Amino acid sequence: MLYMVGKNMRKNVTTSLLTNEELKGLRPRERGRYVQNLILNTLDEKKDYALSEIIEKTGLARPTITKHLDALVSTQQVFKESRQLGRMQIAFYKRTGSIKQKEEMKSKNNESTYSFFVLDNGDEKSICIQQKIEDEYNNPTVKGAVTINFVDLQSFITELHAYGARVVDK
Amino acid sequence: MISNKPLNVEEPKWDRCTRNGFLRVGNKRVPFHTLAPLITSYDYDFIPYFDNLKQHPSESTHARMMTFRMFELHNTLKPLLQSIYQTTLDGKLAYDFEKDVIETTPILIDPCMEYTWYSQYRKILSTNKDTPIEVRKLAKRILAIVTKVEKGELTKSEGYVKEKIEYEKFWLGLAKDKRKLSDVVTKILDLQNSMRADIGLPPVPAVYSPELLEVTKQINKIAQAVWVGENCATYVVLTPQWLKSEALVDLLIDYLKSVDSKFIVLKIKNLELDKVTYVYQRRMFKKILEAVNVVKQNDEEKVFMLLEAGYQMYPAITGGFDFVSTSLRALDKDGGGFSPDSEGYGGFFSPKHLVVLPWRDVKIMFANGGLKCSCEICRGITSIPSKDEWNVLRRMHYMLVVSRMLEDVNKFVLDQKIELAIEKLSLSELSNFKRMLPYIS
Repeated sequence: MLYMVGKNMRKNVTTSLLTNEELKGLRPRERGRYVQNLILNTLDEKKDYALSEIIEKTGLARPTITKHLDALVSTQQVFKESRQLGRMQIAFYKRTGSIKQKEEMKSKNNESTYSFFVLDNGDEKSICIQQKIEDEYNNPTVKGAVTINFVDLQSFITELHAYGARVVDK
Repeated sequence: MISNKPLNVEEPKWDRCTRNGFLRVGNKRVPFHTLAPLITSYDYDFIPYFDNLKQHPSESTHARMMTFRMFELHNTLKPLLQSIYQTTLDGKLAYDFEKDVIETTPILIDPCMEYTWYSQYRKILSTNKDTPIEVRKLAKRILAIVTKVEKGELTKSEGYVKEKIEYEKFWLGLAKDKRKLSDVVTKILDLQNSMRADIGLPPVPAVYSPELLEVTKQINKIAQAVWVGENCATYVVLTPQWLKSEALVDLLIDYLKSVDSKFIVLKIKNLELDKVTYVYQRRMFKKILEAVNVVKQNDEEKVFMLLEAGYQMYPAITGGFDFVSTSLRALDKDGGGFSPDSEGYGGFFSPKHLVVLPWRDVKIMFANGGLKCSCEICRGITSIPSKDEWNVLRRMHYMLVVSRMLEDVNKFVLDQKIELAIEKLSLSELSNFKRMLPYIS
C-alpha cells in the first residue's frame, strides 16, 4: 500500500483526510498537491522534525515524503538542515517562517518576476527570493527560490558582485 | 500549487447577530458586510462597476468584491485579464485602474453546476469550453430529453422523471467514481485559479435530497485536498424546496457545523422569501442564520457568504452572513426578463422599499419630479435617459445604494444598535423579513 493516510495522523493536522480510495482517484499532480499540503500542515516553524517523525505523523510512505519534501525545500517552503548525530547524518525539517515584507521586481525582458520576502521564524530573519513565471493571464508559478539569512546577506552580496563581475562581463 | 493565500479574519466586533471586521485573503483585505456583485456581462456590469469604483470610491467601499459565473468568463474576466498589462504608446499601462482593482478586490468564480438541473443556462453550459466534458455531456443528454418533450415524444411528467434520473445518475455516480470526480473538481479549480480567483468554489450540484448533499460533501472534501491552502470554500447549492423541511435544514446545519474550511458559501436558488405565504420557509431561513451565528461565535475565523441572495440580501447580511452576492439588477431569480410594458427599460431598486420597482412606476416618478433617491447617480438623472443608458445607470445606482446600506449596517454594529436594521426592514416592503434576524426579533 503506497499511502497509509489517516493512520497515526496528528490531531492538529487541519487538512481533510482522504481515504485511500479517494487518494488513488487523484491524478499524480493533485496527489502531489495534497501530500505537500499535508506535510506543510504537519511541520512547524519553531520545531525541527526528522524524516521519521514526519512519516509517523502523516502516515505516508517514506519515498512519497522524501520526494515531496525535496520539492518543498527547493521552493523554500521548508528548511532542511543536516546535523551530525554520532556517526549518522540526519536531516531535520521545519516550515519557513511567516512572510513579513514583500516586494516584487520584474526582470528586464518581462519573462520572470522576482518576489522578495522577509521570512521570520521567531529566532532569525532571512530574505527569500522566488523566481516566478507568468502564464497568459499573468498568473504566476514559482519556478525556484533561494533564502539568505540576514547574517549572511553582506557576504552573499559581495560574493554575488564578484561572481557577476567575473562571468557577466566576459 | 493551485493557491496558497492565507485567509484571516481581522478585528471582529460583534453586535448580537452580526459582526464587523475584515477578511484578509492573501494581500487583499475587504470589510465584512460587503456586496460581491455578480458580473455577467462586460458592457452592462463590468463597465458600470469600474466606473463606480473610479468615480465614487468612498461610496462603493462595501462593494469591493466580485463574483463571476464560470460559463460567462469569456465575456467578463478573461478579456480583462488578457488586457490589463497592455501599454499605451508612451509606455504607461492602458488599464492601470482596472489592474489595481483586480489586484485588490477578492474574486470568486461560481462553477454554476446547478444548471445541469435548472434549465436557464443549461444550453450554454453544454457548449461552454470551460465546462468539463463530463458535465457538458450530461447537459446535452438532459437537453435531448427536453427536446423530446417539446416534440411531444414524451409527456412533461415523463420528461421530468427522465431528467431527474439522468441528473442523479451522473452526480451520484460521480461520487462513486473517484478518478472522474477528481478530474471534474481539478479542472474547475484549475480554471478558477488561472483566472485569479481568491476563493475556490467547488463544482457542486443543486441539492434537493440527502443523497445529493452527500455528493456535495464528497466534492467539497476533494476540493479541499486539491486546493492547497485555506482559501477553498465549502460550497452548498440548495433548491428552494430544501427550506420546506426542517429535517433537511437540520442536515444542512449539521454539515455547516462540521466543516473544516474557513470560508463557507451557500446558495439557495430562486429564493423568494418575500412571498407572504412563505412563513415556514422564513422560519427555516432564520434557523440557518442562527446556525451561522453559532458556528462563527465558536470559531471567529469562519466566514459565511450567500450567493444569489436577491431580496434576502439585507436580512442575510444583518443576520449572520459576512458577504452577499446579487446581480446588479437586484434580481437573482432565473428566468424573467423584461415585461412587455417595460419597453426594454429595467426596474429600479428602491433603497427605501428594498425592492425593484417596475419601469411603469419609474416613469410615474419621472413625471412627478424625478427619481426618489439621493445617490450620486440618481442626482445626475434629470430626464428619462435612453434604454441603454438607463440599464447601465440603474446598475450603478444599485451598487452605490447597497454599498451605502451595508456601510450603515457596519455602523450599527459599531454603535451596538443592530436593531436599527429591523427598523429599516419594518419600513420597507419586506417588513415580513424583520422576524428573520436571530437574537433580536
